[in-house]
Amino acid sequence: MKSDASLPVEGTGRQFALAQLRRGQVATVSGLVESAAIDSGRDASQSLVTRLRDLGFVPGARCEVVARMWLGGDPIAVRIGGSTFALRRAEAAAVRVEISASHARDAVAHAGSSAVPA
Amino acid sequence: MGLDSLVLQDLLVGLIVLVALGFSVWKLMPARRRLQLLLALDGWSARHASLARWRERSLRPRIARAAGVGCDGCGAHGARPPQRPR
Amino acid sequence: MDATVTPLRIALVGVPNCGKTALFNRLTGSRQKVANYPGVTVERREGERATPDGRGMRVLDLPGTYSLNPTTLDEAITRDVLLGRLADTPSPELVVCVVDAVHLPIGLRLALEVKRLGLPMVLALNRMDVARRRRVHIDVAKLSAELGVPVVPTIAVKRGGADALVEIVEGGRWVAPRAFAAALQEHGAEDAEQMQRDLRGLLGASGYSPPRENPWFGRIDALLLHPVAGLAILLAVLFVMFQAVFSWAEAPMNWIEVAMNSLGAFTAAHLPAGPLASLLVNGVIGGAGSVLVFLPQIVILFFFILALEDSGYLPRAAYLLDRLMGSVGLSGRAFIPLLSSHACAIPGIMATRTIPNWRDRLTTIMIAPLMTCSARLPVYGLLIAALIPARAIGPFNLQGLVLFTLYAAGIVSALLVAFVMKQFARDRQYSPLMLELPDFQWPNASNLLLGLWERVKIFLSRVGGIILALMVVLWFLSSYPEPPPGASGPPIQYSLAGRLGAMLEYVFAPIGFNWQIAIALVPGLAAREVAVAALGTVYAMSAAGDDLSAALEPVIASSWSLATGASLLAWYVFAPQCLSTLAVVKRETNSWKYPLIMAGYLFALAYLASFITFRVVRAWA
Repeated sequence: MKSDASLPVEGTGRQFALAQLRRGQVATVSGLVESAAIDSGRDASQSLVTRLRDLGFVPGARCEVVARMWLGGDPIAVRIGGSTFALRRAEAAAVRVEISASHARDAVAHAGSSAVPA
Repeated sequence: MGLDSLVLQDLLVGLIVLVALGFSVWKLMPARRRLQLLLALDGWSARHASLARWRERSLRPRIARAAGVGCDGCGAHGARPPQRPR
Repeated sequence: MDATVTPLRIALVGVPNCGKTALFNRLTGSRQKVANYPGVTVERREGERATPDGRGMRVLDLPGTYSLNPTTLDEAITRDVLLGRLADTPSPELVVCVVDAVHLPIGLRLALEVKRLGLPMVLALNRMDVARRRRVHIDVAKLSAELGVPVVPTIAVKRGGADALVEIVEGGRWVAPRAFAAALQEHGAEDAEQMQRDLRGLLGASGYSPPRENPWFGRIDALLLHPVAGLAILLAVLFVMFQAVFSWAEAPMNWIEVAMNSLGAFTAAHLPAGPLASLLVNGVIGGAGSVLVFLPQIVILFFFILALEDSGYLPRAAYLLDRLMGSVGLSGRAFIPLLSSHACAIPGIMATRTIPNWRDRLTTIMIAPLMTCSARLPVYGLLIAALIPARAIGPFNLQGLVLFTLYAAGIVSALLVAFVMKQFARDRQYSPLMLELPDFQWPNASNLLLGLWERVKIFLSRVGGIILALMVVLWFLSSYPEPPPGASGPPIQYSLAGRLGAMLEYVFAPIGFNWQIAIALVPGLAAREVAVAALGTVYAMSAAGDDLSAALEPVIASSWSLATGASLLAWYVFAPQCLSTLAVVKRETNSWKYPLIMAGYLFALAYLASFITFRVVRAWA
């Protein structure tokens, strides 16, 4: 999503790529970034970053990494909006997430609330 | 039973083999070619009044199936994957 | 049906796994497989339904898609039908957008996108029973008012669960929403944001509250997706599946074989000797009947595949294998087509339509014939029984180990071929995984049975149709011209097929094949398993075509060297002897180039593998 490319990445201590999350960690999507790794050679109508947005990776959505494969988590399984998606590391790298202190492990049960930000 | 006659047997076997050959060719033919043939057959039968019933009853539904419905007529066969380099 | 009034054209649109196919079955009464794997609806499905006014409706089940910006062939078809871009399919008069009430946001987003096309639309809020159970709250009336189209709750899997939808459609209580002239031009960022705002507004207005999480799903996934335990479970599942294909099928296969043999004996006894009896016994019963024997194995294999699909496990297997398959240039999504190819390469190749990237799809198509399809089992079974002693090696049986080795050889060489193809790839466009792992569910018994029945019907119509016809033609080719009076060899030697076999022997002698094998390879072009029947015919043309396999085994055991047998086994790991597969490849790639390349590379590999096997085994033995 183009407009999100310019998203301020201040407070980098709390801003991560989704691919960096550990298993069981809950976070809030803060935006999507353009990714040459997955979108090079595609015209905008087939953009995979756009597809991520269509799958529910929109700012404010809460997500949880439910599984990571070995060797650096490629692919990972992410629970978002009550659905689970398998994403490769390169795909998950296009999703920026924010971990707020309030998101403890027990927040998992509400990870489904996803696409409806409070 | 007339099957004891070798001539009759040869005729029958020849007929079966011919039908099987025709059926194989028909089945292995690309769907588009098959539709073209059906349409040609339709045009030809239109000029023969005696065939009108057969045309309406069995040829027309067959064309409809070949053109639209069923896997062979599926639009996917004409379509190409969107990423295919052209 | 009145010839002047055409039925109302309705299209069902929805994201994968929203119950769209079940709703289609409910509406049209026709039955179709319902599964969890995203994009299972790769075939065009259309059904009719009578209406009280006599006009009727024609319902089209479009492939599931998350968005009208397609990334796969399936999704492109959905978009093209809606836009009226497909030549044979006029755009629908009414779109029924199916939305899973449990996963409302993702489905509603697609509904917003479809609504912008300006086609008349009704929204079916499906799986309302599950949604209620999981405490999802949706104010249907408010949602309908906000969205501006009728919204109807449905329960597609329940009898009468679509009555409300039918009532609205038949009553004509739907109108075209405001059309957007510029709809579906590339939707830019502001556009997308607007859509997200609309979605949020809709969800807010309808008082949507998300479903309760089922804690068991998380626990099961933690196990099944675990890097070590998950892979171990996957291996165990596959092991049980292949074991079952062999062991459970044994008894019913014997029954069919016995029945075929008695039928052949009965026919031979009650018909006067002559070409007709030969055609029926050797061509029809010995040829097409020999294929019928594999029905039990195919049923068992599909039982596993359908059950795994229905439960939601297959996409998880694709997740586990993505990394491994990625290292040779395949997508994890290729796992499912390749698994189906173990039954037959044809459904496997058709299933590749769910692979987004053309290069990935092509690679998967090209290696699908290397998976050991069920048609190769009789060849392997015959040769192993004849040439390999049933010796125990530790807890294993030597025959079983050889069979497993042949399966493994197919898979390993497929990975190698994929790796080589990767080196030649010119376009290096990234190919996504982005695969939904659907919620677990128990396989539905009636869906499973109907799916199996569909498979049985397809198989039987193939045996009774094209295979039967080809067998008749091949019988003719191997019977005529008849041998000259006083000829000493078997009659087949003088036939067209026989002469071809003799010519081919020059080609095949270096890899240890005799002229009998060379002849058998010719009819084997139609279907691999026919080679077994053809070998039997060659070795025992005088003994009627029944009991081929049983009589053949000792003949082969005594007359073939181990090197020749091993060479033929190696040949069958690769040989592209299946014209239907090549025809499907032609159809799916829309070009003659790829089936020709496939046939060429498979023949080259088969020849090379047989050559090496023959020389090595001969030097050792």
